[in-house]
Amino acid sequence: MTATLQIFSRALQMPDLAFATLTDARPLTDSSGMPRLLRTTRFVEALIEWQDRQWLLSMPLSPASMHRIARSAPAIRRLHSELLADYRILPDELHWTDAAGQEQSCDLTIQLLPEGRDFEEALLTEEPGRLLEALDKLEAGLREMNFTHNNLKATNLRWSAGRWVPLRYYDARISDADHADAEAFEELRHRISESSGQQEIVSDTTATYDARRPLAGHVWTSHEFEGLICVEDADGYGYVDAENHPVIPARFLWADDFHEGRAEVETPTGMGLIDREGNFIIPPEYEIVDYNHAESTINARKKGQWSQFDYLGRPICKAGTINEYTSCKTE
Amino acid sequence: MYTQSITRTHRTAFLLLIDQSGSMTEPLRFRGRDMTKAEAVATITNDLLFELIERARRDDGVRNYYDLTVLGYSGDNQVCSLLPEGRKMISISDLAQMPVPMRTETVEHRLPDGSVALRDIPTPAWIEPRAAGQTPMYEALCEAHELVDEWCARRENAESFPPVIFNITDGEATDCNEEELQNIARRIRSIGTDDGKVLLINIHIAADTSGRSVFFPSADEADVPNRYARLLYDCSSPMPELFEGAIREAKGPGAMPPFRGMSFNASAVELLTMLNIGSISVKTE
Repeated sequence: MTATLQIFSRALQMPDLAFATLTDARPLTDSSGMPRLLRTTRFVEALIEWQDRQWLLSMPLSPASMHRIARSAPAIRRLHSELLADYRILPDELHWTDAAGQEQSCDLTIQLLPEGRDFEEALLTEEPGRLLEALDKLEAGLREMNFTHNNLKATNLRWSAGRWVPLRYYDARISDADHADAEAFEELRHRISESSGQQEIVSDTTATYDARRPLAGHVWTSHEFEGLICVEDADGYGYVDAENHPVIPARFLWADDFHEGRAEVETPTGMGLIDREGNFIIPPEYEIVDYNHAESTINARKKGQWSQFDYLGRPICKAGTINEYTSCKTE
Repeated sequence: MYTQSITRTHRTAFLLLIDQSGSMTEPLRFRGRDMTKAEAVATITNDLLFELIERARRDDGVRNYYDLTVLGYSGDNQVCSLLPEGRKMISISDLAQMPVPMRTETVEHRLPDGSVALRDIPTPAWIEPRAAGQTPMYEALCEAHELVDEWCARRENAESFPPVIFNITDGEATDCNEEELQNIARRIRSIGTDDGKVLLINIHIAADTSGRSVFFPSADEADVPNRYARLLYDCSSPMPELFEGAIREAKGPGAMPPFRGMSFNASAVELLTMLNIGSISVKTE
């Protein structure tokens, strides 16, 4: 049975209950906390973080959508090619109860999203000659493997470590009789050539710039978590929303991404933990603050002694009664 | 018939008619939780709106695939638009651009061992639960009739997939008798485009101690003790043969057509999974 988009959206909000494998996945969300969905012709997609990497998770819009992939996905995996991103089917991954109270499940697909930039960002930051050369290499490599993408376009390419990586193999074929990508490659070459001379310096650390959307005016930007993006400005680290509006001023020496409404930060007086308004839950007076968002506990070290606090910053264990790896719950 | 893809050049329309009468304050068990009928109706409506917006979303934004009407009926024969600024019909892309009120919803999830886990998650709430006054369903259906008649008469919609009307109610109309309700439903179902007649889907919300829910019932499933359910079944569109395979798959083994466009204590959002919303790329198909 086909799940609705809402079932998929809700599953992303409670992965530990609705997914079989991706139980600790975290979706990219908008400022209201809703997962961001994107529809293709036959799939709906969401960007997730799982096992410290970013993935494109896809749900078929009809059972027929999976039939083609069921044949091509195993063949693609057997290629073991560096030109292609890890791609697999997760059988019976999504579980839900349907309108009639029956338990249902369906397969999902997942694809590794290599670290890097999307096509449009790459056009702004890379030399056209380098992009064209990489495109030639990709075409030759795919042809050698008899791999035809069948829907190659700017949004299905990612610039990663000096090469183009194609994404979304929903229509891919491995067949020596099929080289239908030639026209698409020509179109992409045309796009790159047209962009010649439009490069601009996004920041002085462009090599690590890896935002999903360009956020202008920052030295560095992280990804969006819970509607907030950690950024580094001239004055330090802070947070902006998805529209690049400042939310928490850049006043920290260092800051981490938000998890369950909390983020670790460092100030001149020490490390602390803040909430989404920038208020300190744990004051910035510790050598180390280690927030465990899965258990909603905070281990913090001051003068070499560890203490533990709950989600609201209330002490659970007195200083010196635990070490870095223990919890009051296990005592 | 009913084969036209829903695209920006062949748009369609969805009309949601929402019963907000006083009887909607009655409690019922819906999706495993105790709530009022009004809350269940608001949940179903918001689910439909979410699904309609997300199904039109592509990498360039929410595309203008369909027009949308949301009418509430309640009070003293009041039928009013629940859309922003009281507009009768807006495009889905316009709705998607408007600010969305969010609320926290408690979602029930059944675990493999049969136990139930509850989780609070943010969810958009375009429609708030409301319950007051009478049930002018006839008036609401007349309004819907006018809207779809006008929509289908437009030249640009002649080849489109026909409009779909979701009427979400506990079935107790106060401004007509059964015959009049059936007549207006028949008149609505007689309007159409070159691709087919308007689909009238009735979503019936009713207190039911068994906690059962049914969607797209066949004739034998419509044999329920609630007389309003039977009336709404008669008013609902027979589902086109084209959808029978998808409905059978959704309902599971044993489901036998013909099916009616109706649900009992369940959303009919599954219908949207059966429509071909969005253009099919020549390259990909």
